[in-house]
Amino acid sequence: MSSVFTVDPHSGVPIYLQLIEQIKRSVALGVLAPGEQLPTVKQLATDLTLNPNTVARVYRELERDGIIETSPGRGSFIRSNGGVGNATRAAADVAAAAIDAAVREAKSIGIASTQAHDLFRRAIARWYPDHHETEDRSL
Amino acid sequence: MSDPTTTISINALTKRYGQTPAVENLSIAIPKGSIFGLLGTNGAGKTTTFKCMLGLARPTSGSVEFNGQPLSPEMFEHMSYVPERCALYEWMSGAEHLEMQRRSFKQYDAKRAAQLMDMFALDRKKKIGKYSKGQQTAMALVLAFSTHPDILILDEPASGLDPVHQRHVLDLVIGEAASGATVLFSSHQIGQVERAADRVAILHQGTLRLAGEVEQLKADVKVVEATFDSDAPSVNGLQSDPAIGYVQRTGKLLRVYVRGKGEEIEKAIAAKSPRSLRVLDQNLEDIFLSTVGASPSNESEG
Amino acid sequence: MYYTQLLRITCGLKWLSIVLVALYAFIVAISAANGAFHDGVHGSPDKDGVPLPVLLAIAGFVSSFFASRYARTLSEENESHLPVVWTKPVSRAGYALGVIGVDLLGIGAAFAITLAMELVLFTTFGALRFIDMSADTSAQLFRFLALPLAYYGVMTALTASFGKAGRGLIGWAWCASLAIMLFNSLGLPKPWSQVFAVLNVVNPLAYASYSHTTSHDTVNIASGPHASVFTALALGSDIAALLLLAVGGLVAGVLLWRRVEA
Repeated sequence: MSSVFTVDPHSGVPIYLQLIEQIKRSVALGVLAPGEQLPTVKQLATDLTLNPNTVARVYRELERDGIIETSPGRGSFIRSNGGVGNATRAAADVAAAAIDAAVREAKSIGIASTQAHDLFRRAIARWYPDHHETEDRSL
Repeated sequence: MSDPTTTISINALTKRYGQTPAVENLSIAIPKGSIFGLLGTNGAGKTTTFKCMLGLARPTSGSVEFNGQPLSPEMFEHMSYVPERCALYEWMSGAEHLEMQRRSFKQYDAKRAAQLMDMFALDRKKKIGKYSKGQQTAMALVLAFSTHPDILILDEPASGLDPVHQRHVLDLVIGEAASGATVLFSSHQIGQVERAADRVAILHQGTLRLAGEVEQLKADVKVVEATFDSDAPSVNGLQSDPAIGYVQRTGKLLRVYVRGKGEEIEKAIAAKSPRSLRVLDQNLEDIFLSTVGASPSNESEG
Repeated sequence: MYYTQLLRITCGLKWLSIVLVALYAFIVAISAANGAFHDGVHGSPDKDGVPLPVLLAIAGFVSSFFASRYARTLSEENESHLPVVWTKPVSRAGYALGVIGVDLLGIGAAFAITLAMELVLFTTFGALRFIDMSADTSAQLFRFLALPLAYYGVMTALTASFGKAGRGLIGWAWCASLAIMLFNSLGLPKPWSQVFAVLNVVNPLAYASYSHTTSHDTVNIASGPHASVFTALALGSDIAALLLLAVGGLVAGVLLWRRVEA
């Protein structure tokens, strides 16, 4: 299971955040089912070659965000009730952050706002082939 | 006065060989269960620090404490050291070294030792003198990990090992830390340190230049990069700011390495009307290189 | 804990035995070729007797060479093995004493093996009855047993602070030991005679002198009766001096070794 996750120490995003995002994503997409058990901190740390404290922090934050629940002695499990909902909301946050970063990058290299908008539309058309553009003047 | 969660505390350690200082006024606290990476160029004082910690060299001044106590021989029951250069006996075989370990340490685990010998593909009947450099390092690691130590001190544990075995070493270190051990290791493989360590200290020319949690350092240390329509303006006003580590001006490009206060510096540079401006993250290797390559005006923080 | 030293010593004893057996075989072969076994041994024990102390002396010197090789045990650890030795859960002094204990047993074994081979040699020639047990045999035994211990102590003290240089030092120490003995017996003018007299005090060889005179010949070991400065001293003093050198040397060696830096 842990081979599903990869982290890039050089991406600029803290490793623990990357792992949190990936786990939330897996839950939102159903790759990790409600009630499913996660590997132990030690196991995941060894599999991913990460500091165990980092993994422990990930599990703590996931618990705080309502994605998983940990019972001492039994392990950590994806929450059966509400876990998916929380994860989907979290996944939306991840997407928002990525889009925000992309727009900021575009601005920093001197792209004008209309051009940025155009690029965005082209990306939507490419990745959401079923999406049909409606005239949206509010933008 | 000593914090019960600090496993190793190095206090104002200074070691001079004659007039030459190898380590000067080094103070580091390593908390329990942490994986602590010590980075530095060759001759920065990493090995000297280890030697002073373990009683292999006498410090000129300062002290080192383990769980609040100075070093005593009984502590080695729960502590393992892997030195940089092979300290094993060339005329003895691998099996004889394992036997020596078994007789010396109560906590010796023969099954674990056998498992590790297989993992590193070591022939226990061969004499250590016939091992390659990497195999010698591996043998020292087998001996170190087979006694289930609470404290592990490793000086360049990956040296001479092929990438597969390097990965094994990293896994072992992480496994032990996950079981509660405290690990202090020095390495030139900064990428590995970045993943495995939760704290680092950067040594240069015997002094501590930078120390802290890895994620904290990466969050703090950024590069503000700006291009201008004409030659990049000087930032003399900003240069005295202790948050600025290093300024690079090449033609129209200006790069300012900052520690903390990234947004302020960014605004100050934005006020000079650059054509483009962005803030780049630094990975640990960048941080290391700029710390040791930077001008002596760099201040260190604990 | 002393396992390493045990391995070293047993290896050394093995080699010693091989050398002695080879020597024995060589002597027997040469003698057989010269017809020694045809006629039996000539002579009578009274006139051609060999004093036992001579055999003891030979065993003493052989085990002195053996002891010298192991006197550099502590210095061998200094040769880049200290990170292994000093990170064991045992104090340095404790470790050193344990290792020295193993060495001492090994020296005793070397002495016994050599003596045994000598007796075997004599037996092979049917000459056991030629061995003379003089009155002071047990004292001589202690003296020639103490000789290698004294060499071991002195050389340990000399080499404990050094690493690889220890090997060379042992060789030089032997030369010095013989030279000092020699110069001391030459009757040099002052102040040289005083210098060598003082140096001879810490020279184990000075306490190994033995002389036995019969109507036929005189057996001299270590340059005879005038070699030692303390010719008037009794055998007991020789033994005491040798043991003092042994213990003093070892104490000094251990203290020096503890101060070494890796």
